[in-house]
Amino acid sequence: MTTRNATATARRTAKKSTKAAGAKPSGRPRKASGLKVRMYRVGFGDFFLVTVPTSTGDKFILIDCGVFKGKSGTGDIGSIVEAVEDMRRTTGGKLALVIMTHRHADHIAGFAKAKHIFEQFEPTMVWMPYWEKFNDKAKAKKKAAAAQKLNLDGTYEDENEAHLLLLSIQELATNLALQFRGRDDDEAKEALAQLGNATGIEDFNAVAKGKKKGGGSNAVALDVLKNHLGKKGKNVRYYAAGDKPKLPQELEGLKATILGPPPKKARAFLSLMDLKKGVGQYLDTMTDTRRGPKVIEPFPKEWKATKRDYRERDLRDELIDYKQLASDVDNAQPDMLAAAAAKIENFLNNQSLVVLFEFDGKKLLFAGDAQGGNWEYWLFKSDMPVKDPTKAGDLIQKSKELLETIDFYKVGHHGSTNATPIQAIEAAIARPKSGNGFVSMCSTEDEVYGSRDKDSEVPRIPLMKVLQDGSCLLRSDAIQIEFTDAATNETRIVEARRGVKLPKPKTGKVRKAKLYLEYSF
Amino acid sequence: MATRNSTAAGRRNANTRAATTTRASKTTRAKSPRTARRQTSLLSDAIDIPTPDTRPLKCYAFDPSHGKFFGNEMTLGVKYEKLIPGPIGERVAVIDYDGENKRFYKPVDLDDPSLLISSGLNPTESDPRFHQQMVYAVASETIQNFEAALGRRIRWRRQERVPNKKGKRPKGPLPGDIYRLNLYPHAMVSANAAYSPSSKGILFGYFRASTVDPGRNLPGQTVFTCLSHDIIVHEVTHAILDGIRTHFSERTSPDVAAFHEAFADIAALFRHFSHKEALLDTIQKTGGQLYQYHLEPEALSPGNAAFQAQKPQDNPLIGLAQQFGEARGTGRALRQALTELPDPAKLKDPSLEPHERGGILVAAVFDAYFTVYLRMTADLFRLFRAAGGNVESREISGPMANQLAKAASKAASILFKICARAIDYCPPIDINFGDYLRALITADRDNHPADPLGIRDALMQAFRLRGILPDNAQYFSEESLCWSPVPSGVFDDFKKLIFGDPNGLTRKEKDHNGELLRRYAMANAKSLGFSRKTPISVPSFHPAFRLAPDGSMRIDMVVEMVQTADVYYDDDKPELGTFPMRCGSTLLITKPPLKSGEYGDGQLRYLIRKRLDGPNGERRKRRQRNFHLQEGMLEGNDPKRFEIDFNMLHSGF
Repeated sequence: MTTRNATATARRTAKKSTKAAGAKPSGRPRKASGLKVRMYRVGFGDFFLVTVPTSTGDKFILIDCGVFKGKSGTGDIGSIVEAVEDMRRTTGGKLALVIMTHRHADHIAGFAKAKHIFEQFEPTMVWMPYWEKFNDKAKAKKKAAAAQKLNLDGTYEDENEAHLLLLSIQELATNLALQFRGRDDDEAKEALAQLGNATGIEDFNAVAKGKKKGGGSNAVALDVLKNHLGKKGKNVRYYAAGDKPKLPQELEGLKATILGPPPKKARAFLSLMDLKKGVGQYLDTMTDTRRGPKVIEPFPKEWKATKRDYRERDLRDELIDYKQLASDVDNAQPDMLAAAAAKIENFLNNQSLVVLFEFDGKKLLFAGDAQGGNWEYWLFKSDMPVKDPTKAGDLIQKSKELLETIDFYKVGHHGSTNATPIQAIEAAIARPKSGNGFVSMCSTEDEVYGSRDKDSEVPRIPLMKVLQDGSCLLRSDAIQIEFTDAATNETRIVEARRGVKLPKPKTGKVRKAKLYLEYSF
Repeated sequence: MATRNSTAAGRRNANTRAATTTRASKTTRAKSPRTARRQTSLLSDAIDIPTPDTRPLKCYAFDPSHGKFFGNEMTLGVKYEKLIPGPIGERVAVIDYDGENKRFYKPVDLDDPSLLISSGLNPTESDPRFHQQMVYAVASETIQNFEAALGRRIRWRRQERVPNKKGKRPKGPLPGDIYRLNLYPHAMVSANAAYSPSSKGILFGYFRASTVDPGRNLPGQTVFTCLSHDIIVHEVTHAILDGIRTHFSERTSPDVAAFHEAFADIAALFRHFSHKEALLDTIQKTGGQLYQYHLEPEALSPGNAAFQAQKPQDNPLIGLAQQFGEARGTGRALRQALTELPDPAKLKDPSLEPHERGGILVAAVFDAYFTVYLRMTADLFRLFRAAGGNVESREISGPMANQLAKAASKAASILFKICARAIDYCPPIDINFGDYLRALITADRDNHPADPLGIRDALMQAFRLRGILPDNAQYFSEESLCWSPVPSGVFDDFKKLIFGDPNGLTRKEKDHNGELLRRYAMANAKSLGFSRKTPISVPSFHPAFRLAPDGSMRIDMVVEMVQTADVYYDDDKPELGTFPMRCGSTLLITKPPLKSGEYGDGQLRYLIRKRLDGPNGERRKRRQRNFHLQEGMLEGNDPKRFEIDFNMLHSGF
């Protein structure tokens, strides 16, 4: 141990003696210096391992394990299976806790891709967002008019109704994706990527042709998570903001607070149902023919107009450009499908479990991919009426205090600004410069989503810059990794992204390894 | 319009010609067969068939699901204009292009003699030509209503005239201008209809009714949004509002989209009270208590309803687009708003979806409406009780029902007029519900200083109950809520401003006024609330001709002035980029009466500002920034991302 760490420990123990006097005594003093966060470089996806030092040795928390090829098709760099194997070696196959933030392929695909390895694990507990709860009662029979059974406080008289809502997201996304066949414009690509992420299906064409059946890799991953790792649901815990989470006993000294997803609320269910209705009705109107989906015809063919039926010139004697009129309508069409896909994407992102860990005075914030709706809840407490309406939308004091004191932040949604509100970063950065600052980790891959000319690239350059300036930003693509390609059995090297630097933190250490970056507090 | 004028002119020419020939015949006294024929044309003025004022057209009062009850089939008197098949007229064109099946349907020719004689086609779902007729009829009638309320012709959206680097504005028509609104009755497959500025019109969708829970429809039947009276009025109102206040479609706060929705719903709801038969029916079934959500069943039932007549029905007057309500999700929000207790805390919830939020405004306006209705009918009910009538029983006599219906319809027309006129008193940008309340009060006070029915008070109380409070008013009193009139002498007069006549301004006059107003804006930038550094645009100026209660005509010009600035998301971190923010003022310029035989110059009467500087500007900046943040509008640089996409909005996206 370096002298610097030793003094840090001394300072911390001194602090602890005053602050945490009531803490349970344990074998030896816990040291935050043993606390580590590891970020595997898997491409566009999250795979984090937290090491918690305890009196009985290091214990491990796995937070997400996923990757997705994305819009560009280049998001998956192929390293995830070997990364999982590496994680097994580190942990000896023992995980205290597995957290699935939300059901997107870029967060869970690893559980399917490395199913054979995960089958050797027996974690003590699995945490999932509250919404997943409804999937456990899959045997429940469908009842009509679910909407009427919804109580105003957001609870269901019969919770199985809600489960039906959620399960069909998979179906809805798949059906929606099938409507995009034959289109290869930019919007369609983006939408297909979103739907692929939601279902874990990489090739919708194969599904359409009946070559592949089943629910995509997400269904497999969820099965591994719930039934295998979660012991058929017995060890799975579902949380929403405000719940008091139960931690596995072996993680002594660790405290966890659940900040998201927002608590169950009637409105969230209802907005989902509206979406389902809107998209569902569109789908209802399509009939599948051999040549692909075809729409219903509202009138018999006899009603089809011929050229003679319409006049060439209007009453001002100006030409009427019917072709232009038709193309105006056609161009207004496709947005609907893309918007539905985006809505599903956001809906799932906002289910993200947001967890704040506290250990020996260190605060670690893992926000999944939470976007507006989710952050809003705990930053702005949007269900609480504000006394001064002009203050609506300002950070609440408690969130501000929290953000000003975090030591670690997992950058949401691979660095898109929609997932990390600038206000949150501002609050996190607004702390005395002399302090230790904080470390942020962003697992991302450039040029997979968005575009620079539209200012929508992921990771977003200005956000990365603000994080770089205000914190010690560690990006997964800052290091070169080496692994054996599972398909070809050849050794592959993925180089570090040019221009991405690996900064030194003010406290603690960053370690580079073959497949990951690890920060020790 | 043009054709009507030209035929009138033609008639006039014929008359003068006839007059000269008679004079000639008097002098020569020669009676050739030719002049004899000419002589008969003397009478032509009398025997010429006058151009009709209206064209009767059949349509549904609600939608096909209501069948033939409640006077669901009605005939609208639409202002007469010559039409070509489509129907395509002067202001609207029905283009029946099916974007899903990529085909045009046969257009209806409403000038066909057999249709002229039978008030158009009979209501049916299976003939697309009836759909075209209904869309045309209801859209035209909606335009008429707004023109009557606003005292001027409606104009559709014009593309923003952005000056180039040299500060020059594009001249002449631009591709984004809408000169005629296109109505597409079967544009898309969707349980949705939407005004789309990029398609220069309204797209109506059709869809299959749910096979599980179809409501009143046949499971799996095709449902057409273009056959819903409410939906047509709602969408056309979006287009009208967008034409008057183009910047109201820019989402700068949660109120903006909600306002657009609410305003369209208000217009559609008030239309219900002009459907005479439905109104009478509802009055009879509610005993005059129009605001009840459920109607009394026609037959009493001891236990469960066994016959259809025993089932209580929803009040069709206060529900919107019932056939689609469930599918669109909008019906639910509105129903909730109109039936739940007013809660001032609800408005402060920033996560409300635009329809829910808009529902609060609709409920406030309808609270005021029912209050006014009850005040208008209070004496009637007193007489009714004095004559031994039992108000609880809901059995009222025919004449009584007639009187109540008259009052309900009159109150609706008054309130609608106030709501429509208030738009002219709104700031040109960043509208919020509080601004609208101030505009309502100012508009009504300006046009009807005496308020015997207490309409303004009813509005104020209804808004207050729902927590809708204006930003800067010091007291919640009528005087304080009104925008303050500009004291005379503070601003220069508008020299040489042309007010024109009710037919509108000529192109030359428009060019003249535009130039004059822009120069005025620059010269008085600071006092009008602008900065001198960037150009100020004048998106619109409309002369309005309204009758004052004393019968005199008041001539005003409503002018919008807007300036755009790029504002940093964070002044300390320029790398985060900027977002466009606008400041703007609405000017009400009045034409003074003749003074010693001379016209005076236009005087500024109201100046309704939204500033970018000062504490109010700072507050707006913060509010808009937070809103963009919460809505995830930070991504991207497309300026259109701030615009409301009505297609998405209506689908709950």
